[in-house]
Amino acid sequence: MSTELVRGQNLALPDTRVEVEIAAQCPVELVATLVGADDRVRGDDDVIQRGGVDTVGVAIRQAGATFELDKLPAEIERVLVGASLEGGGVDRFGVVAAPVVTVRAAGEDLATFRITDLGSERALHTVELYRRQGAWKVRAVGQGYEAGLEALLRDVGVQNRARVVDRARTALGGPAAAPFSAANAPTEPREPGTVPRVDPNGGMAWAAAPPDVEREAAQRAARREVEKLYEQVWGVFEDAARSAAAYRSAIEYADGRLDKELEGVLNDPAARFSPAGLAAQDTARDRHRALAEQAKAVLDRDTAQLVGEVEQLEPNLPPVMARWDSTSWAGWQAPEDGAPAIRLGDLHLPERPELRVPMVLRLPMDRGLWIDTGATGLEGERGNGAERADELAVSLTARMFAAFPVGEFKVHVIDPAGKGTAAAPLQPLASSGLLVGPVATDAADVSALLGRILDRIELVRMAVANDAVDSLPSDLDLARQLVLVHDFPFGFDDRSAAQLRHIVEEGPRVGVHVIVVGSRGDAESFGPLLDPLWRSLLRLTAIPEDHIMDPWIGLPWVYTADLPSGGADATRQLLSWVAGTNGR
Amino acid sequence: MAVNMSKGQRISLDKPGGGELTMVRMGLGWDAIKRRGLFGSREKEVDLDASCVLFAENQPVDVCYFGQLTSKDGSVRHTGDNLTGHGDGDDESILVDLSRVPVHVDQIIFTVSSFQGQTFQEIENAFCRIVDETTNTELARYTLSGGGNYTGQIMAKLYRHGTGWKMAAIGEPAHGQTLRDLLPALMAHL
Repeated sequence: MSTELVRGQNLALPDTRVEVEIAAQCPVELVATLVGADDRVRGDDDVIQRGGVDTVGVAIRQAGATFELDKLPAEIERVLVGASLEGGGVDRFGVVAAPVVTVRAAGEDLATFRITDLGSERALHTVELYRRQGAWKVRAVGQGYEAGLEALLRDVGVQNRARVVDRARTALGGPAAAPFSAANAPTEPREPGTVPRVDPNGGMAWAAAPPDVEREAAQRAARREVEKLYEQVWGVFEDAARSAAAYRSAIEYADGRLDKELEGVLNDPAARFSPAGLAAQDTARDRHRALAEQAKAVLDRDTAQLVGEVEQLEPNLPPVMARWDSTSWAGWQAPEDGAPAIRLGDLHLPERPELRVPMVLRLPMDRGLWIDTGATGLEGERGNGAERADELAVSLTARMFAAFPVGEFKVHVIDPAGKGTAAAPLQPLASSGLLVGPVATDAADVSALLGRILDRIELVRMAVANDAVDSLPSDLDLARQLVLVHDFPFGFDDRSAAQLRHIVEEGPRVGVHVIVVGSRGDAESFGPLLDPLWRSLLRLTAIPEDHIMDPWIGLPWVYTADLPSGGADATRQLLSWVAGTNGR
Repeated sequence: MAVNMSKGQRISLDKPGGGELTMVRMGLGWDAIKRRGLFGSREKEVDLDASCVLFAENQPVDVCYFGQLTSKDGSVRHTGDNLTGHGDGDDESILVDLSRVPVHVDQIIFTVSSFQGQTFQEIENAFCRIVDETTNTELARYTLSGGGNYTGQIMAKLYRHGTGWKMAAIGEPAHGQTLRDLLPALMAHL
């Protein structure tokens, strides 16, 4: 049976005779390179392509290659199967359907690899065949080069790259076009060791900064990996929702049918206690039990499957998407790119407490967060909601710091209730040195700060609307901003409450996030003025409550906050890491 | 290999290769109406609707149509209402995840209806097809255009068979502009 490989996956090869084929919507030329333990070719003869030198053990044909791995010299550790589309009329892989690589061994299909998520790549490593403890394995690579085959060859130390590129282009029927045209390609094979001179006006990005190309490729690959994990988490969420909906629908049907069938018997007093009547009741109950058991069996099967998937996913999640107790935090580094998503906690359904779906949301979030201090929680889950709400707010803020590159995330804190020592819950933030300015505590400060944020929102919004981002004042801070409001609405008046409402509604579109910690009950004196504010915030509770609706079926899920078990210490630790990186 | 159905033909289909069907899609496509000169505005847009009804023990228990894009049990999804037929290929699709269909549901019927009441005789390039979504192979196709003086079509039926599902192509014309209108005709195929 053929295995579907994903990037990075490897598989043992049952035979040394291996065929690799690529199917794409555009002409593709295969170029194989043989590399040693140092990931370099021994010489240019280790590049095998159509129209090139013959090498024992490797035969390249159109869109396919046959390898006899046992005939390769012992010092060859890996065979890289490259694919190029240069000269074939298509300028990047992103415009055609994902190419599919088929690996065949011992005459049978062993694996297929669909190379998805390609963009501006013009050349790819499709798969590699490599030695591992005396045997050969195949690994799905699926990574490419915007700068094309030239860059791919450079990475493995090929000297006369122009010749290889020209041959590949010719094989695809295309002209050997600039900058690798016959005119500037060496006509005579060069002596090994000389580097082909590249015309600086050739206009190829790689010529200027090859290391960046590689680093960017690595970053893109890492980002794709994280994207995939994010998709998988949401895939589990969706499957769990659909599976639970099917279960509930079956139970509802079984209950309804039982009621109807019993009604038929029980409404007739004569039949009620007759042997036939009693038998009918038993039959109805048996039918109900059978259907319910069947539904439960399907639910159990699905749940076991999904629990297994979550168990596999969790350890691989990057820190910002992982639980606080995940070991991945040990490897946290200030990101160069903003993280694509952030963990807010876990979700589960009451009938399936063992299936905890990670709740990860895209960054930047398209709405603010409201951490409800008035939450009552589920039965039996009561705790000190208000205190834990502060903990949740601080830990989520710390997470957001960890999610954005150094200096690209700024936090303002508003805490009128926290005059003097009452600021304790926010202490880890206040003492981190990461806040912009002092905590706003009196009415004038609050209003002034909100006013400044509103001005920024208005400026950016107008600039974006008029397509005039260039004309923004140069001193405007373009970093993402977070306004953390503690104990809302304490210390707010109608004006500042209205200001906050505008920030909540307009901010997310222009990079301003809001976390409001407060209780809706406390804000009743503002009347309907604040209704839009609550509506546009995503409500979270520090104690478990079932208020998060999934987007597919609309079932209510129990949200459980993920708080560091070490209390404020873990948060403080993370903040000090972030602060340390900031200072560097 | 796709089966081209003719009117009223019933065919039982197993998944090619003998495996079990797990994900099935009904695709529906038609062409936007061609305006005829000066009085084109008098013409009504053609709005065909793909719908699907889920049955348990011969009683309808759930539906998926433009008014409920996901069946209550979550197993059937509609890609959304196309009101004019603009665009190539399938204009509307209904996707059934057979592994998620609740245990009590034993039959699923796909239908097509012409919301504005044009008959299939008047509608250009209308077709309806059933696709095995896991392999993207067409299981059945029915050409609706020129299909006579009808506004509805009962397309196909999925039904439980052993532990898996089977499909029967029905392809029977009916009268009705909405799913509700078609329901009595559907019951005859259970």
